[in-house]
Amino acid sequence: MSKYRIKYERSDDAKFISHLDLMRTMNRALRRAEAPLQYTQGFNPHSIMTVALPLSVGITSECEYLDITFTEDIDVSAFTAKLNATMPAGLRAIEIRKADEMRAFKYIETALYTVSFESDIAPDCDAFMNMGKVVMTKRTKSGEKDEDILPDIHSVTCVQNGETYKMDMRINVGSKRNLKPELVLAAFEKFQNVKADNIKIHRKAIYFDDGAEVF
Amino acid sequence: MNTKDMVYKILPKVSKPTRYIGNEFNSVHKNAKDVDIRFAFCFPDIYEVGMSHLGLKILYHLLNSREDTWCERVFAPWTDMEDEMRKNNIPLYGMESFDAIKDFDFLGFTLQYEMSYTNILNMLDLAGIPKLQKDRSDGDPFVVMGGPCAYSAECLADFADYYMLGEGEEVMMEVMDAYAEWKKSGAPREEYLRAVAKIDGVYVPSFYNIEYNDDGTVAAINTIDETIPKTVRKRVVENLDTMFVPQEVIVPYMEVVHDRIMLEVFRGCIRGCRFCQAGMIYRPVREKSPETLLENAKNLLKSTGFEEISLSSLSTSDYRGLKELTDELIKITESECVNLSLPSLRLDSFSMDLMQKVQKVRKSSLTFAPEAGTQRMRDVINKGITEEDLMNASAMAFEGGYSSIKLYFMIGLPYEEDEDIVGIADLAKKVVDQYFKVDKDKRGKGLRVTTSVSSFVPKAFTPFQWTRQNTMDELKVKQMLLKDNITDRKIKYNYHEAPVSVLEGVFARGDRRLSKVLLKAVERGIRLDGWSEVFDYDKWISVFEECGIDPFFYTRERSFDEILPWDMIDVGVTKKFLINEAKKAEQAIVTPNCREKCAACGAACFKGGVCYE
Ligand code: SF4
Repeated sequence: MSKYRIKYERSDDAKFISHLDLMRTMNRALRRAEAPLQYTQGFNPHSIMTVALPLSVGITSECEYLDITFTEDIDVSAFTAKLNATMPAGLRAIEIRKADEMRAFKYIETALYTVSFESDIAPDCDAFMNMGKVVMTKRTKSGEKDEDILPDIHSVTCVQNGETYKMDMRINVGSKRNLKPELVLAAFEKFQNVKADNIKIHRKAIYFDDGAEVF
Repeated sequence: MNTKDMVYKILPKVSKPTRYIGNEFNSVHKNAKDVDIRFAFCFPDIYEVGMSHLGLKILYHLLNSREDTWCERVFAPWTDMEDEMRKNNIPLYGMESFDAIKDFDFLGFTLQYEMSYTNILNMLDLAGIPKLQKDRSDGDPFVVMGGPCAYSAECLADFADYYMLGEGEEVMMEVMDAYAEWKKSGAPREEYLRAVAKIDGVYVPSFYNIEYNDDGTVAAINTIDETIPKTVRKRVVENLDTMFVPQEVIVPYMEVVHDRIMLEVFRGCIRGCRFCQAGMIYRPVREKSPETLLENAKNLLKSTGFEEISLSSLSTSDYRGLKELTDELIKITESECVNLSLPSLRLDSFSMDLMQKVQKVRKSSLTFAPEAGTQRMRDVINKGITEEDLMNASAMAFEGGYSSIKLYFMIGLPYEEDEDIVGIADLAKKVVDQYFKVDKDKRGKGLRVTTSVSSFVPKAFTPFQWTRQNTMDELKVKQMLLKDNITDRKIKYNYHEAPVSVLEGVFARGDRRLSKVLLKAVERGIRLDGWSEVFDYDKWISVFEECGIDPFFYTRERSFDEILPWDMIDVGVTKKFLINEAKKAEQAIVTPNCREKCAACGAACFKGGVCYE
């Protein structure tokens, strides 16, 4: 038995697939690629798959990861090619590595997002970061609550490109503290009146709690 | 902005956006410049229903196997998407190319159930294509229809350029060939219709004029001239082993109704239940060989990655190769961790055994369809199940550890008496008793007997096509009578809403004067009638009133010598046979199935299948 970690991208054509549907889609792609899938024992056997940080519908990414258990070792470069030959449009495996020794997804702490949008008013990232407190209403499982989101924002910068702005933000994600890029954007609207239109959110990188990128 | 960009912009606002984006694995993408024929396969319901339909899978890949043709899929948008499309002026588009389907050569609608008819007109409206056939001209697509309801879809006659009757695998290719030729010739639109009218199985409604009597019944069906056939016979594929069958099918992102590989083991049904339209119109029974099916199953597993295979047919236990097929299939499914599901099995010891073998999940529920509550009633409808069969089967099920059983029944059947309704409750109670006869430690826990009751709708080309349909009030009284007689708390009672059944009955036996009702209904915003959260009966009734048409004219009893609106259609099964069956129903006399004794129904004219075994 060997665990492998697949890094894959999810571009425009696949961005509307929900998390559960994506798991099913990846599972079927792996089956088509004749991956030596290890199945659970028992009544309803299924493959052993874990996904890092489920991505919200509508967001693209170049740093999706999933762990999958195989019954035997594989030739990763040959398998990557085989898998990509049978992936639907918008999904592409970037790299596959053996993951037995890798840190688990639960140690993921931050992610880098690039958010592009159009706006009449330019966001002022420095002023934003210096506000001391940015209280927003967060929706959680147990209802809504007001919270200062600034501690969850490690950095935010923005460049203008004609009509559009490109905002890079590194924020807390994962099981301990989790912030959504949409909420950061909403904070810019609330405090700086930045009305973003035509928003495109893209995830660029995911990092563990030691600051290292997953890979 | 192109259509795709506009769609992507509105998708964040709608539910289940993957209904609208296409691009699933095995969807077919071609270069529009490389093809001569653009075909929009339109399923008049939402994505997850349409994508579960076997006919779509076959014809989509069949059409795309032609180099000159690109077939794309189109589904009815859900209400939220429709609103956004209308607000943003997005025309109905082909899911593969995002091109507007009004620029296509064909729109092909499959008619699976009557309550989807308004969706057809609404889709034409969203596409920006004239709904009425007579209003379409050069540059407009041809709107063609097929599927099981096409045999008696006269209510769509004003909208269809033509219908393809019967199985589409062959006729579809022939009408495409004729189109390619016609397009080259530059002849006027009508010439193409004249050309296809010569093809067996093609019915061009505008070439037929209907005359009516003062009482509203049909007086005569006339063709516009002698070159048009008086009757059109449906098409069947004689040999299912050699016909086209896709070796790859589209793998949807979202979970569709049947999210699995469907292996069609045979067509038709030997049983001859008198209420069942499918059992009559798909005659004669033709089987695929286990070898063909196994080969297909292996290829499909490889090309799709699905984790489940299901055998599909009207009555899988009647497949003569079932043991051979399942023995081999189980080997494959076990080695590849695939589930095998076996719907439409009769409950006998063989199938119980089989289900034990394929049972992966915890014992779930079993389904029986006695359809009627008393033996007399089951004889009337020619449903060859006895109370003893049901008792044996449920005993077997409970002994095998099952604790949940679903029973399907119909009410509103011809010659039905109150005792037949009460009989349903009695039968359900006897199933409950059966459970308690089984040893406590042998039977499963938590007994549940679900009794699902639908309202009978008389259909064309069945022995009951002359029968009066129960009114809504009659159905409601019967539903309540049954409810009052079900006293056991272990029995759960479900019933279908009567209003939908009544309207279904109107369109199932309608004539072409109903076209204007459909047109008006869609103008009033009626569509998605198959969805109870959208269906609006009162609105329908007001549309009928506005059109001056009495819907109940179509649900009345008819005499055997009345000209039926679909008499220009020949399904093989003869009227003589149907009348004979209707008379036997009245006397509660059963007719043996095709394998016991041929009843000379007429389907032998197709020169194949069970009639020649
Ligand atoms: S002709 Fe006889 S065997 Fe053939 S379908 Fe009819 S009843 Fe069955």
